[in-house]
Amino acid sequence: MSKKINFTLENDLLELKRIQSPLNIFFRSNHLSKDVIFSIELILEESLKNIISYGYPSKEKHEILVSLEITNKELLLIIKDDGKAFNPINHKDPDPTKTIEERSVGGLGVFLIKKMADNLNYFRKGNFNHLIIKKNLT
Amino acid sequence: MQITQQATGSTIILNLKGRVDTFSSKELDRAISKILKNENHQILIDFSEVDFIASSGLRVLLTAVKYINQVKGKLALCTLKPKVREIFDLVGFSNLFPIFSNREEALKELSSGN
Repeated sequence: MSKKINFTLENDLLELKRIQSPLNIFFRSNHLSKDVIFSIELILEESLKNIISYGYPSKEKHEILVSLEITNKELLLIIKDDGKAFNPINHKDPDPTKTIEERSVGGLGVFLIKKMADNLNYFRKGNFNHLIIKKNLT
Repeated sequence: MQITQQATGSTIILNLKGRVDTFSSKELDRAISKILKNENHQILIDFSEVDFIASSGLRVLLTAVKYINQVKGKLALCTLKPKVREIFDLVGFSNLFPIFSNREEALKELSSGN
């Protein structure tokens, strides 16, 4: 089975459902641990939802490119989109010590992306955001 | 995700099964809103069959507990799988919700003081 898989998604939230089945086949055939699968699924869900929901001011169709590649020691996930520039690394983290009344309902998704990744890089080149995520497999 | 509902004393129990993600969190929101609309303010959510939770699900729970606290109700969670519990711990939600390892304990605590 291939150690690499690519997806091209439209900026439509239903695309998150469409990729679930091929992703599961990819995870299973590469014998990834439950922990790694959970982390990658969460990173993908949160990143793609943010891009689709907030990246595009108009309803015009756009393409989001996703690739996952497995090496001996890590899983490399790259997400490329032409939405608004957004660097999750600079996004302020929620304060987990705040009370219920003080806690804001936003900002949790980006925080979870940072926590689930072992390494997170971002750059903007031309009109494209590039998010590069590494997850250790050992 | 499947949601089933049952009543035990004055507590409404929501049993969740599957993924609490971008899509299914809307169903959870609707289920909680319906309970609150019926003036039931004591809810237990059983996570024993939940394998995945995303921020959308966490947001629904935070919004619910903010309201339930205002009306002096109670919202508790029980039987979280380790990975789901880890997410609650990471975002600091384990301090915001009473979380029980089993349903009996949760019901006992919820019914105390009624």
